[in-house]
Amino acid sequence: MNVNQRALIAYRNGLRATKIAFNNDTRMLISARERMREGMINPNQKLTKVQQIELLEGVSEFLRKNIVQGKKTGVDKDGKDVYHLNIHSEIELGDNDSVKKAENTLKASGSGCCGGSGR
Amino acid sequence: MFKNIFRTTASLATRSVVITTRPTYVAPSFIRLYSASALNKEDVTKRVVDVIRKFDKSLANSQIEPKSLFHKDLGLDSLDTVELLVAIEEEFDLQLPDKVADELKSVGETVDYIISNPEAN
Repeated sequence: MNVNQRALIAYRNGLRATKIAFNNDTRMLISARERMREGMINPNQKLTKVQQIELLEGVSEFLRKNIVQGKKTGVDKDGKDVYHLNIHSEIELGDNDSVKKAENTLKASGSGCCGGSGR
Repeated sequence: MFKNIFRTTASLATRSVVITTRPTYVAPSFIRLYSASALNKEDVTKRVVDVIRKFDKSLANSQIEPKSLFHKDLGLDSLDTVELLVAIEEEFDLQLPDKVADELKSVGETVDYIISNPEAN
């Protein structure tokens, strides 16, 4: 597959990702798509073509997995806003247990911070 | 097997009669779900053409036929074509495989693919 084809496929997946992230939010959807088109026409020249494509693929993945759409649905009895969060099937869900595990490993190794090996 | 289908449609029909007496209920979605081949060529062509007209204002009044080519006849570049096909995907609630999408060059080819796709609606 040549670079042009790959770029177009990345663009297609990017557009689909904007729909997943910003469905029913027309303003955001349109502006995300305009931004994406702009990026296709004037990509960051400091990156190689392959890097530009990888960047777009990364953006698409982020839009799919890490953007949660919130919609104000009303106010609760204390007058605070209530939002409905659209946590769809592709959203990356953190696992609290894995956080605890990571902490234990750090403790067990008895080493310093910042990934130091403690040697 | 056919007997069963008829039975279902028959019971549906009686049901929809009851439903139509309630003005707030929209019944047609039932009919669509149960018809064997939901999409006919004429409807699909019309919807595809409508998407194209909405997609690009300069095409709003131009002649769009099944044999119209996206690039040559409609003047769409490669980015436009990708955008148009995504708009068509959204209209028919389906996802074109990359291989197919890369090969679709005309209105007619797109219509034919949509008709052949059981997921389209």
